[in-house]
Amino acid sequence: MGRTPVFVPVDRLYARNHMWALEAEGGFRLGLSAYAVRLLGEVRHLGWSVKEGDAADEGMPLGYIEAAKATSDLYAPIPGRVEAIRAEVLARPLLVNTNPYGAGWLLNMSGDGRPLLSPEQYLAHLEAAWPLAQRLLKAQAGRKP
Amino acid sequence: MSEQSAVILSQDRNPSPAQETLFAQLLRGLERRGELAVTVVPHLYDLVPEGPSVQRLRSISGDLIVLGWLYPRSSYWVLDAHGVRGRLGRTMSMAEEDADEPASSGRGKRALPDRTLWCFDLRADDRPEAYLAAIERIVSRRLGLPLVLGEAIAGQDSGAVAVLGESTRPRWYPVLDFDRCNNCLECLNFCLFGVYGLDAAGAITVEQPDACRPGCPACARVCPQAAIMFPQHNDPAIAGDPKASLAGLKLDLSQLLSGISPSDVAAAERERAAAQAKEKKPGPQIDEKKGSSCPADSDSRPDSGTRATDRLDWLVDGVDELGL
Repeated sequence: MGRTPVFVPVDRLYARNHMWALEAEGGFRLGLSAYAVRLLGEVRHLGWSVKEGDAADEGMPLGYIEAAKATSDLYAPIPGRVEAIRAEVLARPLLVNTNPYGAGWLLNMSGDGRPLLSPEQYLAHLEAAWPLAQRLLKAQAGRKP
Repeated sequence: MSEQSAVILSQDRNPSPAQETLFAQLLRGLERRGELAVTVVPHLYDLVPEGPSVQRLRSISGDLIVLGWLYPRSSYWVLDAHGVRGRLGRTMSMAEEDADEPASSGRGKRALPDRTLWCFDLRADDRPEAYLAAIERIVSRRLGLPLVLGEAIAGQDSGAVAVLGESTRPRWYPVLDFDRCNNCLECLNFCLFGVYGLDAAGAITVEQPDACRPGCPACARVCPQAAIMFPQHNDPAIAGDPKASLAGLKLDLSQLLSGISPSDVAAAERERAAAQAKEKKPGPQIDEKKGSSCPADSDSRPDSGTRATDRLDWLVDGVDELGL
């Protein structure tokens, strides 16, 4: 799993897409796990293609993130509705790095939390998915521009 | 001697017949000109600090015209690494508007000698006239006299070509662009082989260039400023093409962060591998001696066949070391 231990707080749930979910304001407050943040590096920019009130299926692209080492689309971890988009993080994307499990949360979604994983399940998912993650990273690192 | 303009003609490692022809034509166009002091050196990137070619380069204090098989930016910073410094002149190889004008280059904020290094990429054009015309313009301006280069006229005197018969071996090491580097030290922290170090002022240096793993461009990908070049790499963004974007070096994590199940990812990956195997494109060549144990060899794509499977395993083992 790399040399740096990844911190996984046990007070919340996790998604397979490496977001965490904490029940708040009638929905789930969602942010990126330390694992995802570590892969991304310093976050430079965030953008959302959805707005507050939009419905989303699980796995639907919601926006994108650009960081020092990588870029990625961001996907809905659960089916439901986007209740709130955190403006503070849009203004200060570095919050994702400095406080990924707190002030760096990204959005709030209401909906069906059943796809979410317990911290133990998420750790197991990380272990299981790591060989594939490595391959994906390698394939990426070897691609032509 | 100070009236002469120094021209450095760098040989390629394994020149193709077309490259040899261009080289010979350039040499014929430049030789026996009293205005020029022409020196033929081995491949610029392969020169070693203590070798005669670098000594010769260091001994020249005026403008330098360098013709080599590298991006001008790469040539410029290879020279810089050898302590041969000046402003980078804009040449036609740089595809910029103000050809033959000195470009601004400040090696960070450090003072540079008051002279210009004109670096030409011999891969940019296969016509010798293009280079000769550009050199005519540069030298004519300096001398205040018109200069016309072409086939040497029999009997014309002086301006002998010095061929430095330095025997070199292919090298592989990072070349730093100090106009871009902001001394964040990511490369120092990242490199597993002790290539980087700090100078007395705490600035990053390539301390042990030859500790670098041939074929490994990993630090160039990690560098947030895209300040690290491997001039012999196949990816233009890593080889020093200034047009190649920073974003081109970033990973796309969308597949990872989409949260689709690992088995789906594996299936998609197998499909892609199968499609690539069908195309049967031979992979680009890269100099990979010493059985490099590089963790992030860029041209190590998991593409086709059983050989690729072995390679993939080897690569996957190495990713841990990336510390991503």
